Amino acid sequence: MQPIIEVRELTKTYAEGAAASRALNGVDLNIYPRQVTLLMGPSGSGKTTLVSIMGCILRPTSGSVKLAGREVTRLSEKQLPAVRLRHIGFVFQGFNLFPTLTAVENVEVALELKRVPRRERRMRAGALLDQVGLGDKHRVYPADLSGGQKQRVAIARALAGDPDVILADEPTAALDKDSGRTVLEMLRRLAHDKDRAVVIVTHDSRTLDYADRVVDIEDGRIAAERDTDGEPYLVAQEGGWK
Amino acid sequence: MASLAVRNLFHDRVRLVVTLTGIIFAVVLVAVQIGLFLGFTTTTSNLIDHSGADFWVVSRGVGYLEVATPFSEKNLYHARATPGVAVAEKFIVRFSIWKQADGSQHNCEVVGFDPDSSMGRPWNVVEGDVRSLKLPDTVIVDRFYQSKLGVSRVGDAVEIRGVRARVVGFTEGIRTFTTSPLAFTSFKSAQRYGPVDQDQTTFLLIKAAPGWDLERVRAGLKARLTDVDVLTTREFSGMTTNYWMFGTGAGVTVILAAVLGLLVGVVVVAQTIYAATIDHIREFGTLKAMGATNGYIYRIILQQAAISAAIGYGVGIVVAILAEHSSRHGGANIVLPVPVRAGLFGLTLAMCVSAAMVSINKVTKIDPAMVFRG
Ligand SMILES: Nc1ncnc2c1ncn2[C@@H]1O[C@H](COP(=O)(O)OP(=O)(O)OP(=O)(O)O)[C@@H](O)[C@H]1O
Ligand SMILES: [Mg+2]
Repeated sequence: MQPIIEVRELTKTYAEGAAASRALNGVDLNIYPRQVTLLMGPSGSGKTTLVSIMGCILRPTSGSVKLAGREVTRLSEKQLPAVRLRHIGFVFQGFNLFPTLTAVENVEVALELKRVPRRERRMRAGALLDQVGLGDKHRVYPADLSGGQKQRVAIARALAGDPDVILADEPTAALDKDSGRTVLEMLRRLAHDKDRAVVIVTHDSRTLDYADRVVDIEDGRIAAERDTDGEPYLVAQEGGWK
Repeated sequence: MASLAVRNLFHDRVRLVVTLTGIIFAVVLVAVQIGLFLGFTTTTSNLIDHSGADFWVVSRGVGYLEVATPFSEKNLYHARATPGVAVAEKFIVRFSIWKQADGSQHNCEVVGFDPDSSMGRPWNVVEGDVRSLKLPDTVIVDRFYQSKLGVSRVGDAVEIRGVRARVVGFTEGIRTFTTSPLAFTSFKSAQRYGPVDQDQTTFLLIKAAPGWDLERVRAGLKARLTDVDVLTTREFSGMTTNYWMFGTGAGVTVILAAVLGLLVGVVVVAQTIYAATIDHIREFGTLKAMGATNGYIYRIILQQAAISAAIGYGVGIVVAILAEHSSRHGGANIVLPVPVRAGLFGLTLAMCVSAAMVSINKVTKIDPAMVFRG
């Protein structure tokens, strides 16, 4: 299986000089389509930093990131938006919906960025909301949605760009148990039925039920990779164990 | 994008009202000040601009209309003999004393012209007839000043510098910058009201024959006339306006107020747009994470600035036009021609856009911590 993201010898140092803090310290990681990959680790271990770099909204200090076979760390600031638009969908812990737009309009923004013609936007946005089970909430404003519903709108919005990779940072942290399950189930189906690579950052061990693979991060390094049965994870890389 | 820009703009009503108030305030202030400036400039020179002459001959060194000193009328005959001169007439403008029937006195500016000539006549005559001025001791004054002059109808009698004068007509909208009302009269009467000596005049008005190069005519006049300057109407108009507007500082005050209004507007608008941008900074970060370019986000901010500008201008210009209308009967003269109104829209837009620029550099960088914050 070809990885959609290949991370090699990645380091990230915030600030410089005396105040410098090394958030990532030599990370090697592949992300595959059709898989839910969990990034787990203690607070401050570098999970958000890693996801931000993979999503091309943060530049690494050194190392390489290949997204769909293309080296992205050396792309200019002008080229990056197009890369994100084409390959990446973000799901945030705080949902980050646009509060002044209705659910369906929130999804339409992503379609507009994709330059979908105006006429088609409403229809496709509606269909995406239907897919995440919000067929009756098209015209509702985020403030009037529950947390789980908001996160489903956010997922629909992330899907609108038709991305290869969904990067979700603590998507269930702000949700109750049931809503959390619904959202995780949805993300898993995206991976398994729609061939996306789904990366979920989480503290929550219940998330393990929905994952194919777990990556533990500690102090900016990959401490362990395993499949969800706890077995060391077999990486299809140079045909060996990693 | 249109909807996000518009929705966010109208979402926070209080902020929108503050922004619009700032813009309206600036538009009204700038419009009124520019209007006053234009009103002043037109009043300072309107007698010159309406003269119908190509040249004004003035005593050497005269800087503006109101300080003209008399010179010999021999120059008139030399002027008439100059090639390219179609018409040359004597013309008097002179401060004098207007005494009402009840004895109260007021300054006035006597304007003496030849009632048979087409030059130097009163305009906007709304009552009476300019030809009546051929009768001795008759004047035409402006309705705007009638109470100040203590006259209300044709036939009213007053004294100008001890000589009797009868009102035979009224004009409308001829104001003066010096606040001394104009009293149009025949050249002969003006010599007595001025007073100006029998063989003297304060100006010559000259019209060139069609097809003549004005500079050649001017050169001919200069060669023949003595102790005078030959100025084009435009030059003399500019000199007079310049004197009153900048020589006296009146114009500087008005321009300063306009600039101040603009600055206050920019600051208020910049402040509110900046605060709004900061409020929505996470949304902008989210947009960028979704793949929006900086240009897309700039357009949102600029669109909001432009919408605010359009609304603020719309309200502001209506207020300014109302002020213009009411100024027709009030103390100050506000003039806002259509090109100025249009220019003001451009200015408002520029003001709002430059105010928005302040907040634009805030959105060029997204901090991942900001979008990922719970
Ligand atoms: N913008 C920044 N400037 C300086 N240091 C930062 C910045 N962002 C993160 N860090 C530091 O980098 C390290 C990794 O942070 P990161 O946010 O990636 O951790 P995390 O694993 O996501 O933690 P959490 O589970 O609390 O979200 C931390 O020590 C953090 O303090
Ligand atoms: Mg984090």
